[in-house]
Amino acid sequence: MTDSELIGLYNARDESAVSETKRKYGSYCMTVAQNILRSSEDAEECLSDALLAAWKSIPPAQPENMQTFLGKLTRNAALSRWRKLHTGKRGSGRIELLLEELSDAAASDDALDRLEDVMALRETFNRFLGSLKKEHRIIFLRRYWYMQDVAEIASALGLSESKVKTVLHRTRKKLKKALESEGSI
Amino acid sequence: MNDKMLDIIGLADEKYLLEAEAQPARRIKHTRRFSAGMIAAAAAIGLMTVTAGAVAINSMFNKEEVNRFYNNSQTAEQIESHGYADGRSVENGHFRVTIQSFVSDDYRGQLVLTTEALDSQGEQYMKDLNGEFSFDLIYTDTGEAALEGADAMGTEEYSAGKPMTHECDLEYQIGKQYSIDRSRPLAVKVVCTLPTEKTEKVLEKYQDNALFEGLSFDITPSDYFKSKMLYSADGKELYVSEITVMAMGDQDEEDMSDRYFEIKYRDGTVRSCWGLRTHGGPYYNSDSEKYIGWYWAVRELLDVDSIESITFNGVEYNG
Repeated sequence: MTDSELIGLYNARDESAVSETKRKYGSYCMTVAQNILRSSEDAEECLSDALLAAWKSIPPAQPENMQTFLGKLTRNAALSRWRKLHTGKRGSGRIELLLEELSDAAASDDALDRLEDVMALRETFNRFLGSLKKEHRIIFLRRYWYMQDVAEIASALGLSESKVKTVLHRTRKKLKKALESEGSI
Repeated sequence: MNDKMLDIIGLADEKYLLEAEAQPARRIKHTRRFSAGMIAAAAAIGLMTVTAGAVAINSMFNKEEVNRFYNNSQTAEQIESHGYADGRSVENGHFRVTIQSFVSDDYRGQLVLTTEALDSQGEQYMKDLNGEFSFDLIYTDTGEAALEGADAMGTEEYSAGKPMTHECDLEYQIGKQYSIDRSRPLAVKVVCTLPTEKTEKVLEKYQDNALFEGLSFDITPSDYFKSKMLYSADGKELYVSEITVMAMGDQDEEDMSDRYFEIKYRDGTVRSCWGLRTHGGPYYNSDSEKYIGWYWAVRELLDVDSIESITFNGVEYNG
């Protein structure tokens, strides 16, 4: 089933849209959720949340690409779940590790406040992504959007782990610089 | 720190997400660094060194090093009991290289090597390159290269003065270009790592490969590995061995989206692919000249006999 046929089912409020979406993109969404939560059970629930969110948002939404649309819904659902599970806890899990890494990239609160408008943040962040070399952009998004392990990224892209780590380190520094300079305008 | 950065990264445009997701899974670099003739000559020199007795052959199987590579602390025991343990070492004055184990099935192989610097030149290389090596695969009957410059990735950062363990994954068919004939006698030859943007300058002094002469082992893919075929309700096939899960009907080379699998054992235990799989992708067959399935490499020895069913991408396959 093509994406436009799938969206047609949503527009017609045909409930088979949900099962067809699950059949086509369930595995992808499960991987996105698993990367964040590391639990099949929690990932399954996120998948259900994402499918429900898709049902509620189409229409009026008419996504151009169902995979990334669902990926975003799943990532948001998984992060919400992760936040709920970790409220008040100082864990040593992989997301905490990832946040620790990202502290390199975190601009000052002042700078971020000036970019508080979501549209401005989106524009700044995507301009930053567009300025990166393609390989570096892919490595960065695999790590911090898809939340894959360094070893997994290295393996998938045929690179050494040390190269992946070096690229991530440099890219985080560049991101900090980009957010600071845009936020100071 | 707060987790605001995760939300900011969540604002990435769809085109960039597709770009990041759409990259084909590929594991082995095969940049051609030498001419075929040079490779054959280099291989011959390496193998002659072995036969001339300049290389010590010991039994240095080290369970700790093998478990460092696999996810499961019991795997080294299994490797030994299934006959995949090796422990042969070669050394050339600069390095000692030990082949810890070699597991193979119909489509893939999995080598664990340990390297150790023996002199200051060896130590300098390890420091300069974070202990990274590459390896070539040579047909010993002709000296031809079957594969050049594959990654021997370290399982952790190099720590000065300590042996370093490397994982070497082999796909016997790599894309459409490379096909390794596992029925022919093969040798693994450890060589200088391939240059990257970061290491290009540093590597100039090692490119003559003099430091690596003689670091070669014969390997024999086993014919006694365990594997079986599972079937879906509509007759599709799924191949499972101790180190591979491959959905045989999945031939869509354009669709690089992730595949998910879950293994159900006869005792009711369920293992999801998370933590088991490492790399994967479409698998090409040069005889039929088409992609024959989608494989996942598994970083554990699967107990094939105890598997009841596998759900791959939402489709259940039973034995």
